[in-house]
Amino acid sequence: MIDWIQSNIPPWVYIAFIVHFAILGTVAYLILLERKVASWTQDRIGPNRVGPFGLFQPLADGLKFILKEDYRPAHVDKILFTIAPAIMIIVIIISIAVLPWGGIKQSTRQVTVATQTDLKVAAATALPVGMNVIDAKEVGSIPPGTNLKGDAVPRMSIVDATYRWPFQITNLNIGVLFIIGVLSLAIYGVVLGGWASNNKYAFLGALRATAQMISYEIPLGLSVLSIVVLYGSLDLNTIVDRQAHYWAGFIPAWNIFTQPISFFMFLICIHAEANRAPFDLAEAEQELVGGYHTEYSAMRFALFFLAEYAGMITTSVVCVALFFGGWHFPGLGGDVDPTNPSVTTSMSICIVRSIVIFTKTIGIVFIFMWVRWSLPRFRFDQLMQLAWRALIPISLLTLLMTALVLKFGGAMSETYRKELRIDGGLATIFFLSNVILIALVMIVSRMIPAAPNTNHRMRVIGSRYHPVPAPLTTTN
Amino acid sequence: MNSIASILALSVDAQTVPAVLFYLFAGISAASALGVVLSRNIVRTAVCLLFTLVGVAGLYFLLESEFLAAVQLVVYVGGTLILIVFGVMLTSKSPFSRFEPKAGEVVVAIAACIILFAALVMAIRSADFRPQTLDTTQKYPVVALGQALLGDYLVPFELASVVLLVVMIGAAYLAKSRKRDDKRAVARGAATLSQKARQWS
Amino acid sequence: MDPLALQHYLAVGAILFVIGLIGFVTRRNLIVMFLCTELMFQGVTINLVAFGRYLNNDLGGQAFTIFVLVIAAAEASLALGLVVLLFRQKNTLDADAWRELKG
Repeated sequence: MIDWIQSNIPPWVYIAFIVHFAILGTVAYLILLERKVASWTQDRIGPNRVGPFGLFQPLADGLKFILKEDYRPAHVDKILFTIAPAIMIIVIIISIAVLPWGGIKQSTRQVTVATQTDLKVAAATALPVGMNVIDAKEVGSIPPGTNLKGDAVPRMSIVDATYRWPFQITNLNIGVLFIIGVLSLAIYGVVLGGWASNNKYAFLGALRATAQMISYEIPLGLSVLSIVVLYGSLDLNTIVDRQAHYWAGFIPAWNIFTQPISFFMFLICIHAEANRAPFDLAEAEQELVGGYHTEYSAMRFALFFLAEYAGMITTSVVCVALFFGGWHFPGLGGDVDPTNPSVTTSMSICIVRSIVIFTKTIGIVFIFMWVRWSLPRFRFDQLMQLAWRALIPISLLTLLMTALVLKFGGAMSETYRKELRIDGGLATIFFLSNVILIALVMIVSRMIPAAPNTNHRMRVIGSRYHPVPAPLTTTN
Repeated sequence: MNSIASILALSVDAQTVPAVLFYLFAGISAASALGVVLSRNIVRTAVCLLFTLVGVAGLYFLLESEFLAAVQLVVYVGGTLILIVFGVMLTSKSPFSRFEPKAGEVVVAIAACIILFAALVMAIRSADFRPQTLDTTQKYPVVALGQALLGDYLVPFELASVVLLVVMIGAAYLAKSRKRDDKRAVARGAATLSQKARQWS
Repeated sequence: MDPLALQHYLAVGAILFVIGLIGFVTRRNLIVMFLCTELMFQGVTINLVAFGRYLNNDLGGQAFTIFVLVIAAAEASLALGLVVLLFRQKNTLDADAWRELKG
């Protein structure tokens, strides 16, 4: 049985099982973490009734969602109302498929195949689909003969096949772009949910969310692009692999040091894409009741909720892979090929790598929560100004800077020309260029005339824009 | 055991999986394309187009144009179609409003289109295509695509950027002419507000 | 025969194109007509990519599909702006409401 599983079920199947359960299970506990972070920020205790330290609170919440009445208001568009939360959660789950977890695993297995000239091709047919066979050596053979039924059997070779597979669900060479593309479908969950609810608050929330998400997708893509330009690859595994070394022997060669501006812009944009504070205008409680999910209840609402947190995890894993070296950690390098540290023969290293990348991810998620409970919400015009007048120009400048540094600095750096790795010298140039760029932006931005004060047009009575003498009240 | 494996489609030969996926994606796109034409609710029409676009992106994946598929998702589905949905929502006062041409016109139009379709199918069946052997060794077609866009197709590439610039100016102009309405509305709102303020004070 | 050949993709392209055409000539809602042109675009781009892959094995089909994407995005932003302006003038999306433009 184990033998059959090994030769027929590809490893991505069980990786997929584990990853999905891990992420969806973590989501439940992230909600608890969120409430705990809120309570720490606000000097409270937080949930502490269900189980020790409130650890069973997520289970209670889940049970509550299932048992609640699934209420659907009158005059909603039934089909769209139902598929909106489904779209939301489906796209997040699809995007999990290309996240890198543990580099590339190299394994060797003995297989018996019919002898042919190209043993690599023959070995690939005996292995599960999708294995990249790099070497096949014949170690023995079975002479041709007949089997018990009397049919002729050709000469069989016993082959030691060495093959590699990425320790993730699937490896696309356009990984980053795929994630951005699939996550951009999440807008439809918001829009359709808001539209189908037949509620003005939900609709307003949906309109706000749409404008916000398509605006912030542009700087998101541009900040990813400056990393892609650096390594000439869209493949997350390759990007992580190129960061897996050290400068001066101990500084990890992560992109947070070479592209800090891009990192901060990426962080801002994934906050905006997740519709979380300070960008949660789509669900601003004080103005729009609950925003696009006002009319949702029970499990449908839970799906929106789940999608928000799962989306946070996905984008944080991408952030870790792009800027924090993914699984890279001292002692977790590969043991096969020094120029390709992601390849390893040890399963335990792959698993430890997954744990490392997951821990880093939780760190980023903690930043999400920290920001949420520390910063007040933007006004809508401020939100749009931040995207169009600050983030997009700066990210374009960062891209230009990256291209220029690579053009002039990359030519000088031996390591970069040979294996597209950033060495210490080039990294210093990058860091200094970032500092210069941000200094330039700060100087120039003071000279640019301010945007028109659109907010002042609505002259609310009694506000500082429309001071009206207070009505005289006499109390006698 | 082998039958279980083939049901799970895990160890079936490499030809069957793309074929199944092809029919899946083609079915999704064609069915939702029909939905676009037949649906009477304009938001549902847009949603049907969403599924057509996603199905076509899947077909691009099967044609080994992953980059194109992702670009289709980012630009077409995430950008263009969202704009359209925006337009739909801004203009649909009653979602079930309908204005249809006469039945005779519809019949003539459909007949003409079916003739066109029959002609296309016959052309496809009778044409003698000589497919070349597929080069599957190419490691990073994205790089090749970038080089093609800035090499062989430089002129259309630059033309496209000029088109985008023109459209940007045009859209800014349209948005500006819309703003005048806004100003009037705001002025009206402000007038009523100050009237109320006068009442109160 | 190969389970997937060029003809399969061409057939899908033809189906999408013709469905889009039927929609374009039988519906009179400006936005639906607009969506149907997008359908026709999809039919054409499938053909482009399939020809590029099966016949020439070069990137011409993909490159031109990217141009089609650009044009479609540009078209959407302009056409929708126009449609919204037209809607504000006559309060309907009926293409026949603008008959007087015939001249």
